[in-house]
Amino acid sequence: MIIQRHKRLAAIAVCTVAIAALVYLALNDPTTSPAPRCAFKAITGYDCPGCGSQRAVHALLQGRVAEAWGYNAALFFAVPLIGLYALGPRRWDRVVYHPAFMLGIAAAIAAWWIGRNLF
Amino acid sequence: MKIWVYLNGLQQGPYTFDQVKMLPLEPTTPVWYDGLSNWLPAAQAPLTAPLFGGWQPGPQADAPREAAQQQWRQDYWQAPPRQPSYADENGHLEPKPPTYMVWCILLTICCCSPFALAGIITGSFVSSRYNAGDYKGAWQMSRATEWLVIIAIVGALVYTPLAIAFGL
Repeated sequence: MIIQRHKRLAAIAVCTVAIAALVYLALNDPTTSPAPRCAFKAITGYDCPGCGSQRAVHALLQGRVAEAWGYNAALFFAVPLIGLYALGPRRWDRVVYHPAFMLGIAAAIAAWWIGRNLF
Repeated sequence: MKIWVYLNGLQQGPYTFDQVKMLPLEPTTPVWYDGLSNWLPAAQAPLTAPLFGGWQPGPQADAPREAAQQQWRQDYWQAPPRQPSYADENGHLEPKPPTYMVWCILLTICCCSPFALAGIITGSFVSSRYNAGDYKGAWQMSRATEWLVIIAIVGALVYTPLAIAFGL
């Protein structure tokens, strides 16, 4: 209810933070500049599903696509997926909100999490 | 409580419980009301079961009645009745409760939040319950998903400045 009631405000806040982060990452290399490190990795030493995102975005904004893929390949699927849910036409709802499709996403993230630490 | 019944080859309703008591219901007449995930024989649906006392499916029914029931069952199973659409008093379809998928994927990838990953799963339960006609259950799952998202957002907002400040 809280998020739903303030939908527009939430969307503006997310976009502002996202743009600020993009500008910051375009100008700074997260490996040498102040940037939040992943708590999961700090504690366990293993990569989480999002580890490498900041380096990947930095590399992408510098035009180094292959390097970005190496940092976090899941980002290349997650961004279009978020766009699909945020902006996709209503007639696709039958597919994208199908329980199997949604559980598939969760399973894919879990598989990516485990797989990237194994191989 | 609105109740739909499948009588004489037709889906009929909504009725109140008092109206349903007046109908010529058989133990096998399919009934549906909000809270059931699918149509049930009247003798097995919790709301209408008391109307049939200790009825057990079995050979005690006499032959013509058994034949009629057989016909009903055949109609019912061969062409399952549509579940009633969830129309309000104005006839508007109720919207699906939000699943917060944008938030959940964003927070899972950007913040590695296990709460957001759980939110994707509860979000899928919103869809499956809604599709099954369990409208209240879908809203419960939607609220659970929203709280997972809020926990993930608060976690990220608290963690990020601390992580930068302490150079984690």
